[in-house]
Amino acid sequence: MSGQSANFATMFRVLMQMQFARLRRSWRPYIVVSAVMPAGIVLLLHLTNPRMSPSERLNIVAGAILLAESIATIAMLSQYVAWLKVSRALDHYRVLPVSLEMLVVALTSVYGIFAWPGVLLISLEGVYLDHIPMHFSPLIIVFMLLTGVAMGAVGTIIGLLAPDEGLAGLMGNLVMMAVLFLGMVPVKSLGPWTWALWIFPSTGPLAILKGLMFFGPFNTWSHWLGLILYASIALIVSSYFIKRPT
Amino acid sequence: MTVLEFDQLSKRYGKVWANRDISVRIDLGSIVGLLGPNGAGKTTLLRQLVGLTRPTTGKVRIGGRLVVPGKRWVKQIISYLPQHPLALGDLTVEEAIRSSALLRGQSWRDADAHTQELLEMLDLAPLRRRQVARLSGGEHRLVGIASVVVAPTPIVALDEPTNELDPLMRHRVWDFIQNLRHPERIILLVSHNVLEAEQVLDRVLIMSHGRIRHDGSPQSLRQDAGDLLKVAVTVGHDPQRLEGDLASLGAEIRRHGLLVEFTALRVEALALLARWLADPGLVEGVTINEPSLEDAYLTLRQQWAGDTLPEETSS
Repeated sequence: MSGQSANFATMFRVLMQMQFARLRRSWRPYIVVSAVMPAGIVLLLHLTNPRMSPSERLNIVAGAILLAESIATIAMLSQYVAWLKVSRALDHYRVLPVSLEMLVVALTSVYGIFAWPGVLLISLEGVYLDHIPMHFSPLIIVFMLLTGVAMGAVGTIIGLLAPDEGLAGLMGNLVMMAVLFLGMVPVKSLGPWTWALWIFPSTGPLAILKGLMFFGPFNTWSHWLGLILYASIALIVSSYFIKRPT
Repeated sequence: MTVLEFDQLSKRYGKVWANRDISVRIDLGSIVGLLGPNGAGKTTLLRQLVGLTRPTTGKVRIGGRLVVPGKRWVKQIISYLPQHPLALGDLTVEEAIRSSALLRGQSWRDADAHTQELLEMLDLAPLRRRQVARLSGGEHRLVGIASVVVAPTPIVALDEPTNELDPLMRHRVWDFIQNLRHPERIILLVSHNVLEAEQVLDRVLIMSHGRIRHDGSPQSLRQDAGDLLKVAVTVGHDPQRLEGDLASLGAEIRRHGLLVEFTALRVEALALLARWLADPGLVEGVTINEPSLEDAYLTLRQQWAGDTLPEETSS
């Protein structure tokens, strides 16, 4: 007795297509909401506090970019994964001969990409409203994908552990709020609790993003390493929970 | 040749047993029906087979190889149609079927050809560009069936395949399942539709309270139920007397206006009819038929309903 399964290239392509298809029904929440809220915060702070220092402006724009990413990958993905679990639609993937690690990568990277229009909008605000001299590096694309996977894996874990969509949404929003505060109002030190900052998927990316977009040179290799490690561990943990039978 | 084996399989949720001590061997080339009331443990058994539910005790083996939940080889061998919707809602009907074929290892050309074939066979061609989430329940079910059979595996497990389908489509799906029959394949299906399932089944497993209560051919189920007759009586006067007599028999009774249908042991049914016919005007018409598998099943269910089991069960 033997059966077949797709090769990895076909599997990845089909799984990605299945996730992108979500835009047909839900493009408004995914693209508009993840763009409007953080872009609105940047605009609001620009209008209400015109005397901000360049470093404060920089923090706000970088934080807003990560907020856009976290809305799509943590708040929205956690709810979607919780729905998949509660409706048992997730079983469909579990019984197909596909790599569930690849499914998590497809889910998280696609949800990360849903935030890209917002990232572009916020970057334009940074350039034209706050006059921040930004540099484009192809590494930004790698960075955005990797951050999407790291944050999305956290969103996936929340969705898989939450008993229902409502609680997944609540937990996802709490983590997203933490990303918001730790990103836009960076905490320098929490005393003996400083290590706790690294639990959040936004701490490392914030440092990398500033280096990439605003200072140009690629000088944050330790944070890159941290981000890769974070994304890998989060991916392993979320894959474990997705595979776990009841 | 025994290929699929459930060995002392049990699943317990807290204090409740979903199924208990299930030991069954299934040979290649057979179509096996899992029948039984709601909560009998049928779906749990299928979920244990495909690795979605971890057994509390016992093992599942395929070709002597232990089934470990989540293993790729298990997923390659078994395809499963659950009762609940698949994660295909965002795709169009055509994409949903083709994606399933591709993920089961078919080439793009084969996947496309098989998809077109199934779209025509299941009357889904006019809906090919419609999103699956926007389909009716029956249409959604057909897409699910197409997604499973587009690349049939050596073991096909179908949970209520004809649920929500209209009568014409149900017949077509049963024909379809019949056509899936292959000497190198096992089809295991859960159904409540005993009457229709009878046409395709080689073997019937009836579950009740988490245990297998009957295992054999559809014919053997009829034998187990006893030498039955299915009788339809058009009542003249005093219908209470008829119902009183039938209640004392413990027969399965269905009443539609003046028509009373019941299935009972041949000897008892004939004795009762002789008594009624001796009373002029009590009965205006009688039709006698051989019982179907469903009648035998319902009779046995009634017998088992009185049985007491040590622990409560649920699926």
